[in-house]
Amino acid sequence: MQEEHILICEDSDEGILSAIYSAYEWKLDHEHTIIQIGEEENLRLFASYNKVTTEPIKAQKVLRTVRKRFGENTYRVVCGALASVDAQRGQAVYQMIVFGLKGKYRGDLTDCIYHDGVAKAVALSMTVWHEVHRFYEFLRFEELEGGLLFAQIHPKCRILPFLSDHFSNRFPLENFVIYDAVYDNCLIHAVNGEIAIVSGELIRLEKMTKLSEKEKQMQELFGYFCHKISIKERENRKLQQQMLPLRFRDDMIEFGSGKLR
Amino acid sequence: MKYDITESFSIQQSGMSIREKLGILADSAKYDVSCTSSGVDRRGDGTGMGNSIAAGICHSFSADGRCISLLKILLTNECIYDCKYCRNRVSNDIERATFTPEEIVTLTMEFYRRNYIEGLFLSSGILRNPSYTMEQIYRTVFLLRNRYHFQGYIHVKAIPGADERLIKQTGFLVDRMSVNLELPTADSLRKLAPNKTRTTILTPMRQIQNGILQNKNELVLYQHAPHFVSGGQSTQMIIGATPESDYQIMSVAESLYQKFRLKRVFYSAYIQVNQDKDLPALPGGPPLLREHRLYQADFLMRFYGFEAKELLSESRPNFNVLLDPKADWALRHLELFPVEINKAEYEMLLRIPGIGVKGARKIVKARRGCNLTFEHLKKLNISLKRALYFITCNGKMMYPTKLEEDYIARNLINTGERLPFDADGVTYKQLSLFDTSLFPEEQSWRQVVNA
Repeated sequence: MQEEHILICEDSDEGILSAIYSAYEWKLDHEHTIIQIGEEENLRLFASYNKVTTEPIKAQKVLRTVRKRFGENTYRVVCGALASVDAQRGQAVYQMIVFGLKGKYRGDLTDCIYHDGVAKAVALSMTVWHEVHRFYEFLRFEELEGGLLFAQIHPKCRILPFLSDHFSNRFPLENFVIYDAVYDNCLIHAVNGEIAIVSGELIRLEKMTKLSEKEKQMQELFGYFCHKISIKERENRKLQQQMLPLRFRDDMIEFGSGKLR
Repeated sequence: MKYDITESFSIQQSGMSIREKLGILADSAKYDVSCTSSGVDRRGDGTGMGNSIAAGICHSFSADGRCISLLKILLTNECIYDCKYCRNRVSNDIERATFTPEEIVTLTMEFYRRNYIEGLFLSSGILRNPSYTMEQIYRTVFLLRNRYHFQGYIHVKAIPGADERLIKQTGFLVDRMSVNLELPTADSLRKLAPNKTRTTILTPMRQIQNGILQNKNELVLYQHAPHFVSGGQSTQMIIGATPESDYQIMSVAESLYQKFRLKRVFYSAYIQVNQDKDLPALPGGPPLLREHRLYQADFLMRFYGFEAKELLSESRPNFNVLLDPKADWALRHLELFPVEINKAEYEMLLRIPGIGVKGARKIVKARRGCNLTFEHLKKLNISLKRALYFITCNGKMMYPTKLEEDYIARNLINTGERLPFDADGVTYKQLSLFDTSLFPEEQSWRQVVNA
């Protein structure tokens, strides 16, 4: 039995990509190499464990290669898959890149759904991009005193970076903050076009609780509008819940739950 | 982009607050079906607020399960017309209100800024005359686009009978325009909407179509020429208020798509808002299943290459209640099946029940790399429980299956169709032994099994 190489990496995009880089750097046999995110409790027999240190430069190199060799679509899938919460995401992306770099198939890898790694990575990225679209829809800003817009979200995946392009293009002349309460990160956009993602610890969230004067009025107006626009004869709560699952409603003002109150 | 909302909030019409007006005018606008924000990809240029995404964004869902994408309101629910199916008809004694353009702008900007909506849907009752109404709509949209630099999605109604120049000017500011056909045939229109004629409705529709075509040519020459109704135009028909068959309705829709190049035709199950001797009584509620079948057939025509006459005919004028139109068609054409997944053309793949546009595209891409098996199809998320009767992979069917119409029909019905409501259109209902209304179209079911 051939010995397996298990690369243990940090639970982050850069960690996983560094491990993929290392697998090539150390010339490991890709058939028998596994990328594992974080430590596992049950150790395997006949396997060698190696810890990989996270290096942003290595991660960037891997991403650059993916983009250059396989195009924008595959790059999008890799980024999406890495943002998911599945424990196998590292292995899926690794298998996908190995499959692509073998050179049997050129161009957009996402067409090769018959390959297990590609299928898994595509499926993972689909869940992530769907969730991103959900937050394009269901994210709600509240205006604080001074005109800053603040939104809080509770996503399943690490989608915060994917929101930045959409919202900064949509509201170029607004200062806004999107707070990811699950992963404790903040996306900050300033009127001058600067965008940053910072850890929640660095933001004084407790100061962002005072709403502006017209905010309450707008929330009330929109809630009233949502109530009025529904047709009583067609009422169908089941369909509403299917389209707008309950987990999003905690942060939506029309369901009576703004985040700061 | 700084604007002061206090000014417009203090404006009150006959003592009515903006909240009251919003209530009345949203209530009046809710019977308009169209609430899509799709079809236009436009990035913001950094000077104002807003952009537009081709996929469309639904910001919320109301209690009836319909999406809230746009701020759907009427400019006014005052109307000089007396259409019998309409809540706002002049002879109805209801509360009336009219927004000022500034109020609409304020609501749109403030809602958009908080990510409540994707843009504005502005329709209107006929105030004084069609041209005056259209002018008010134009003023509102002009303010939004030019003074407040709003770059989100705007959908407005073109008012039949309004001055051509007004419609043209408005078209250069909005993403989508629509003229409601209201009822499928000219006869029905005469009966229920005495102030409207087929000609007055089709005239602006043709004008917008020509405008879009002309604009396309201009854009080829001058890249920065202004866009005219870049999201295309749509229309809406009321279903179930008049006795037209599904076949007639689909034929009308088909000719609208072909002759007027419409982007969408919407179907609206008739809801009884007025009592009138010319209107049908609908004790079972609005005909939601019929509306659903029409939408399914509409998608088959727009994306799957079907023609109306393939789905229905003079002798079979209505859709099967138990099977979706595509499965129904496939069962009547079993001689074309089973289809070999690895060899069939894209157009034929689209006609297999259980395979949609995305599925067919994925199959075509994936089979370039290898011979597909049923395992692969599972990975591609193809609904095999529906497709398995109609396909082979490498010459083999998934299970030994009889290619018999009633056998497949029985199995397809057993797998259950995912409807957005229960088959009778009611979400919850106590079943009664004597309730025959649950089987309203027994005939068409028998047709399928006995054919």
